[in-house]
Amino acid sequence: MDIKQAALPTAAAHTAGESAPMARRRVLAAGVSGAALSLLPWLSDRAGAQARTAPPTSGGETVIAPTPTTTPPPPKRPTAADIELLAVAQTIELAIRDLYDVALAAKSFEGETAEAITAIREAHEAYAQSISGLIGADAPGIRSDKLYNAQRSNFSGSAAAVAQAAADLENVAVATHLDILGSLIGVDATGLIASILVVEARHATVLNIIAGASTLSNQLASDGVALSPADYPVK
Amino acid sequence: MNNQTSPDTFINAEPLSRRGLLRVGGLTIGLATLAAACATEAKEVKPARVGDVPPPSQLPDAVVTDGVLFRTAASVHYSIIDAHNISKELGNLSPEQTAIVDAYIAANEAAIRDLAKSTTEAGSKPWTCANPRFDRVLLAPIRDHITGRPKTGSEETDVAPSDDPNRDALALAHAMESVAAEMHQSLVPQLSLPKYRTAVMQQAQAAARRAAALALAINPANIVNPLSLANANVSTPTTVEATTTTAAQDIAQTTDAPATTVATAAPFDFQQYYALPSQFGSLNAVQLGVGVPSGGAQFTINLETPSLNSFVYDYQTEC
Repeated sequence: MDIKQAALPTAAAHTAGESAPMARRRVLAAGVSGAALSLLPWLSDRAGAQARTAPPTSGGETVIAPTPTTTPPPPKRPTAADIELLAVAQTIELAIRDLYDVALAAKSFEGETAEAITAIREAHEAYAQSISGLIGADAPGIRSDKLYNAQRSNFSGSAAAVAQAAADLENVAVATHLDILGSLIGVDATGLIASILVVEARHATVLNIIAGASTLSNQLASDGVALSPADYPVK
Repeated sequence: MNNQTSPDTFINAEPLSRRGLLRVGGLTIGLATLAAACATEAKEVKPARVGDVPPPSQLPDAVVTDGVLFRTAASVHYSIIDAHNISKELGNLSPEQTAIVDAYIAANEAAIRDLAKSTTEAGSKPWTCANPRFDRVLLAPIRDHITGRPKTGSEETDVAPSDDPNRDALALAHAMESVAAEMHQSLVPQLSLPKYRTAVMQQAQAAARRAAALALAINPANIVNPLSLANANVSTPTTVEATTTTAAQDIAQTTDAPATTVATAAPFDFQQYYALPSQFGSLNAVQLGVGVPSGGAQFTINLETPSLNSFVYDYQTEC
């Protein structure tokens, strides 16, 4: 072994001693780079991903379902505008209740018919109370004097005449509630008004029959004109 | 010739150093990941399997929109017309009763036309036939209990024909109009626009009037549900119930004279329908009793308002 050869391993070891950390770094860097490169297609796919909707098929043809438009759900509680409308509705209900009181006090009805009128009167009071339950302290709790005074004379007299006046008034209430329903926003208020008006329509039919309507079209008559909240403001 | 391998080329002549191992390992991993990244993704379209298995069908998206609600309402009105036709077909209706049912069919047809306009306005295609689930689950068994049919499946006895088809036919017509009113009322909180709510409640109040008029046509005395009268603190009408007399087994009787007490069966309390069933519009199931009473009970079916399993979705394109 000559000296040069003997010196080589030493030099090589010295060189390797300097370059070994570099080589390890290179290897690690190459590994990380490789891993990053391998992940690149997957990452780019994720970055550009869209909601995959399975297109429905119909008769072999693929139908692309339209993306449903999502609108924020309406509030449950009545809005400020709803409260104003519900207050008007309550004054109307209380006026109707008081008008039935006039008819009952005048003893226009007897027997089962009087019981039915009493039940209808109680229903209108329940409607006013349920509106109070919905809008709380904002509820006026008073009747519409304008409506009451305009109708009062129609609620005393013969049973048929009073029943007809009451049927007409129930139809007015139905039309008014339908009108209000077209403006309400809060879900609770819409549900309540819907449950009220559907029974008031039944009231109208019952009262038409009590008034003597013999044909089906007269029994189902629904020609009421809605009261405008502007014409019947809450005092 | 020397078979000895040169020490320089012998594989173990120069043992793999740690540095070399790291270098080779890193290079291998890098190349493998690069190759994996560049390789095309192979998807097995038809994996091996035994037998003939059809591919699973993909369920379409079922989105409840305003249009779907209008389509559903129209489909129920078609089913109601079918029910009214069952009443006419099986109910032995009088001319006056037939006139009422005919008028109700016409009213439901008018409702369908209105709902078709609303459906189009809401961006959906109008539905032009009956609700398949309503017909299958509700109308079919109702019809069976009016006409009667042999037992099927696990049933123990045949379904007997109705003892009074006229009573059942009118009850069916009344129940259908009540369901229509409830259905439209139930749609109110589900619709997104106030104008649509008004549209359905127009139909609800009309159907409610029809139900009330028919209740009084069936029994003019049934104006207010006694429960509502009780809630209103009104004295409930006095009802006289038939006295039930049972045959006395007088074992102490010494004479041979026959017992004078005659056994009479208690009359069955058939369901009553009222013009004013409740103070507020109810969303409960409408109960309909049809058929001949058996064992002190009558076949009663609950008619529910449509929900997710009976909606007519936009993907349903054919009747």
